[in-house]
Amino acid sequence: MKRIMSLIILLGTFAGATIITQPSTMSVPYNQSTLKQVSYRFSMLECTEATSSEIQFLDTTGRIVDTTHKSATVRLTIDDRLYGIGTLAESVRIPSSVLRKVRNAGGNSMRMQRTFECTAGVGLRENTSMGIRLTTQAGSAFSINRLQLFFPNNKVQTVVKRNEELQAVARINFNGSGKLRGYWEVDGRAYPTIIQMLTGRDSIVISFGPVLSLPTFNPGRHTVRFVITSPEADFKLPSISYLVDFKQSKPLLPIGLQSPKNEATLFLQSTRFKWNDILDGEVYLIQIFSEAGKASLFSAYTKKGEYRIPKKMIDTKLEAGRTYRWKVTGYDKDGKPIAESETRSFIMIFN
Amino acid sequence: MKDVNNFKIILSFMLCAVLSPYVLAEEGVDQISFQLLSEQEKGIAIDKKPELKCSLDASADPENITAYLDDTDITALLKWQGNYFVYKPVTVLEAGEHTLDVIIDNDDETIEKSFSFESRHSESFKTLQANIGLGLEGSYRFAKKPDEAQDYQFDSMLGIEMTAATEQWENSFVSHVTYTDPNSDDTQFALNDYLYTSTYTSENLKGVVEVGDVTIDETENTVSGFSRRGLQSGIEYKDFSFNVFSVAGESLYGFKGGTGIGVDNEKNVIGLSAGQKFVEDRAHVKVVYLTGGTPQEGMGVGSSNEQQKGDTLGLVADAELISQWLLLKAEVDFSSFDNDVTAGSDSTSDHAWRIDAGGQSDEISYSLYYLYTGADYATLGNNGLNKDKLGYGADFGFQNENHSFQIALSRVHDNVEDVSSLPTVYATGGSFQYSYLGMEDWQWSFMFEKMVNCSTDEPQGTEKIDTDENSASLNLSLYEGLWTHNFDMQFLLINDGSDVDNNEQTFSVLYGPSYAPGSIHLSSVTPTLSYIKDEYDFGDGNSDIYAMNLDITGDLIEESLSYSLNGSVEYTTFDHAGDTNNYNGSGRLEYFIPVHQIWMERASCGLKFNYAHTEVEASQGQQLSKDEQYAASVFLNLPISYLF
Repeated sequence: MKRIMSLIILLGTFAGATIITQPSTMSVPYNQSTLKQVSYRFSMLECTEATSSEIQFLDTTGRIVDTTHKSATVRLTIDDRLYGIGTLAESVRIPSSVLRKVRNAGGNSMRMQRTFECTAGVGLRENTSMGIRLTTQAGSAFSINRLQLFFPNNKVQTVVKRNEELQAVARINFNGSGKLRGYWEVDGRAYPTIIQMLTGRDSIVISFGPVLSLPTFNPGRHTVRFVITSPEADFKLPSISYLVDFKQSKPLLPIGLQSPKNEATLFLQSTRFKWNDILDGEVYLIQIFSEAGKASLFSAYTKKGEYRIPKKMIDTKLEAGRTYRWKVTGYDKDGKPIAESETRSFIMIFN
Repeated sequence: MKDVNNFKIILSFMLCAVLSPYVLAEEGVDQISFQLLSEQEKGIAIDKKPELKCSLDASADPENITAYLDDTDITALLKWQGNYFVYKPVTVLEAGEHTLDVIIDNDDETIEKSFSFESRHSESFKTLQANIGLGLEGSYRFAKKPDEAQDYQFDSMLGIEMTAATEQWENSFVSHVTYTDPNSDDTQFALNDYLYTSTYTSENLKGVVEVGDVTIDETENTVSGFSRRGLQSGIEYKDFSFNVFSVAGESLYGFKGGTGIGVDNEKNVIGLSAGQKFVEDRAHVKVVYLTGGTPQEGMGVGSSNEQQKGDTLGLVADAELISQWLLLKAEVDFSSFDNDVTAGSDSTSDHAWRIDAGGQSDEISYSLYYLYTGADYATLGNNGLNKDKLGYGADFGFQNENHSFQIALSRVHDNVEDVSSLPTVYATGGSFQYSYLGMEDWQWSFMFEKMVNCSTDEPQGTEKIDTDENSASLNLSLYEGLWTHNFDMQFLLINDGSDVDNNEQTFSVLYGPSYAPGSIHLSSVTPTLSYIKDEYDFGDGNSDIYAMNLDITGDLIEESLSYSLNGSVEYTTFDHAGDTNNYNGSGRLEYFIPVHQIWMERASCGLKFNYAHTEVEASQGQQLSKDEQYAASVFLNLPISYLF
C-alpha cells in the first residue's frame, strides 16, 4: 500500500527526484586543469542510496566532449514525506584536455553533468549539472591552483642547529583576484593570520617571518604547513619538514656595531671600526668584503671592540671610490662562532 | 756594536736552521726566521690548525711587529716568549699554500719578510674531516589531551658529514636519517636527505658529480630552483661548460622512490645544458634541453596537476656591451607538453621569449624587460611558471649615503593568442619605495604600490573586470642598545569598478621589537604585536584580528639549566559571525647532565610541553565549538658525536 502511495505521489507531482548542484556555475582558466569542490543536495523519493559512475562534459549543443570515470555514492535518510535526503561533496577535476577541445571548437562554455541512479529504493534516475565558463586566468573566479612550500635552500627538507633561525616560504599560484587569508602552522600549532591581496599577477611569495622564526628549540622532526582558509583550496594542503639537531646549540650573540654607520663614507686615512665589546677574553674576527664578493678581501683578529686597518692593507686592498662591506664574528677558544654582527657597508674616498 | 748585532743575527739564523729544518721560503733580511711546530711530512704541515713559530732579533720590540696570515691580521693573537712568537689558528686552516707576512716597523726603517708553507689535514688527504652524530630523545607524557595520544615518544637522528680531498679531487657526503615512534604518517624510518659530491679541479678542467638531493638552476623558463632527488654532473673546460642531470619527476622524501636516477620518461626528468663564453667572459651562449615526466608533484606541493610529461628547449645569449652599464640578455624557449597524461590527450606545443637589459653604477641601477609566455607553454623544471602573458616592465634604483629609492613599472596582459571568445585582462602596475639611511640609529622606508586590472573584449555573459588596488606601507627600524624596534604599518584599498562595486580596505600594523642582551639568564626576547582590520563594502566578512607572538630563550643557571618558550595568541572578531580565540604555546626546560664523555656531547633531561586552544563563538556570545589539546612530557636527550 505504501509503495502504491509512493508511486501515486511520484506520478502526481513529477518530482520524484531533485538534485541541486553547488555551485551552479563557475568560471575556469581555459589553459589549465582545475580542481573544484562541488556539492550535491539530494531529495529522491523512497531512496536510501544513489550512485553515479561517471562525470560527463558536454558542449553547448549537448554533445559529450569527454567522460571521466569516477563513481560517487551517497547514502540518504528517508524523511516524513518518504524522500531520501542527503548531501555529497566531491573534488571535481576539469582536465585541461577537455577545456582545449571546447576552446578549439571556438566555444567558451560547457556543462559538467552527473547522472545519479537510485540503487536502494525506487529505481529513479536524475541528472544534475553545473555550467562552466572558460575565461583567462585573471578573469576566472578567485581560487588557488597551486601551493608550493620550501625552505630557503629551495628544498622540502632541511637540517638546522638548535635555536638557529629558520624561515619557510610559500609560493602561491592563483586565478582571478581577491583576498587570501591563511596562517602558518608548525606541528599543528597555528601562527597569527596573514591577509594578502592577490591581484594583477598570478603568483605571490609569502615568507614565514621575517620578524618571526620557526621554533627550533625542540630537537627532532617538525612539520610546517601554510593553511589557506580563504579561498578554500580544492587540493590537499602540502607540508614540508625540518630537522633540529639534538646537540645543544645556543643562538649566536648579536654584536652591535657602533661605527662607522651603515653606508658611511670613509677617508683612506681614517679607517677605524668599533663595536660593542660583549665577549670576555674570546676573539673577534673583523672581515672586509668587496661590494658583491663572498670571500673576504682582508680580515683581522682582535680581542678588543675596535680595529683600525693598517696602512699596508689600505694601500694594497682598498681603492678609493669603491664600496665595501664589513662584519664582525666572535669565536670561543675552540674556534666555534659564538657571536655575530650584521653586515654594514662603507664607501672609500680620497682625503 | 755592529759586529755584536751581526753576531746575533748569524747566531739566531744558525739556531733556527738547526731547529727548523723545514723553512720553506725566506726573503728579505735574515733578522726573522720561521718554523712549523706541527707534525710535518716532506715539509708540509699535517695539521688542521698548524702551529707556527717565528723568531726575531732580540732587539725587536713586539709592539712594532705586525703579522698577517693569508691577508688576515693575526697580530693580536701572537703569543710572545722572549724573542719569538707562536701562533695557532683559531679556526681550521684550509689545506693548501699559505703565506705568513711579518713586518717590523721601526722608527727609521720597515723590515718585511714573507714565509710560505703548505698544510694539509692528513698524510693521505689534503683535507679529511668527518662528523658523525647520533641523537636520541625519549619522552613520556604524564599529562595529555586527547587521552588516546601515545604515552611515549621516541625521536632519533643519525647525521653524517664527511669530506676527503686530495690535490685535485674533493669528495663530500652529507646525510640525515630519522626514526620516530609512534608516527602518524609513513615516514617512521626516513631518509631525510643525502648528497654525495665529487669535484675534480685542474688548470683548465673542472668536473662535478652530485648524487642525492640536488638543486638544478638553468633559466627561469626552463629549470629554476628545481630541487629533486637524482644526479647532476657538469664539466667546465676553458670557456666551455656542459651539464647533465637525471632526477625523479616528483619531490621525494624518505626511502620511497629510490635514487631518483633513471630514464623513464613518465617518472624521471632528464636534461642537459651546454654553454660557451666569448670575448673574455663578456658574452655567453647557452642551450638547455629537458624531457621526461612526473606522476605527481610530490612533497611540498599541492595543486590540481596530475601526471605530466613534456620537453622544453631553451636558448639563451647575453653580452656585456658597456662594462657594468649595459648588459643585454635574450632567451627563447619551446615546449611540447601534456599536463594531463591520464586523460589520454596529445601534447601541445608553445613557446616563450624574453629580452632583458640592465646595468648599474655606484649609485644607479636599472633593468628593462619585454616578455612573452604562451598560453600552453610549460616546463617540468619550473611548474609554478606563470603563463599566458605578454608585457613589459622597468625598474630603476638610486642609492647614496643617505637616500635610497626604487621605481618599478609594468604592463602585461593575458589572452596572448587573442582568442575572440575570451576577454583580455590588462594589469598595469607601478611602485615607488623610498628609504632614508642617514641616521645611524634608525631607518625608515615608505612604499606605495598601485595595480590596475581592467578587462576588454568581454564576450557576452562575461563580467567586466575593473579593479584598482592601492597599497601604502611604512616601515620604521630603531636600534637602541640591545633593543631593535621594528614597526610596520600598511593600508590597502581596493576600488572595485565593476557593477558589483564591492570595495575592500585592509589596515594592518605590526610592532616587533627584539631584545638580545646575551646575558646568562636571557639570551633573547622577540615579541610581536599585530592588528589587522579587514573591511568590505558588502558582505559579512568584516573582521578585526588582534595577535601576539612571543619567543624567549635563556639560561636559568649558566651552562646547566636552559629554557625556551614560544607562544601565540590570536583573537578575531567577525561582524556577523562571532569571534574566534586561538592561543597556543610550547616550551622546554632542559638540565644538562654534568657527565662528560669524549663521545657524548651534553646529555640532558627535562620537561617539555605544548598547548593549543581554539574557541569559536556565535555573534551573541554563544559558544559554538571549543577544542583543546595539550601534552606535557619528561624527556631524556642523548646526543652522541664522533669528530675526526
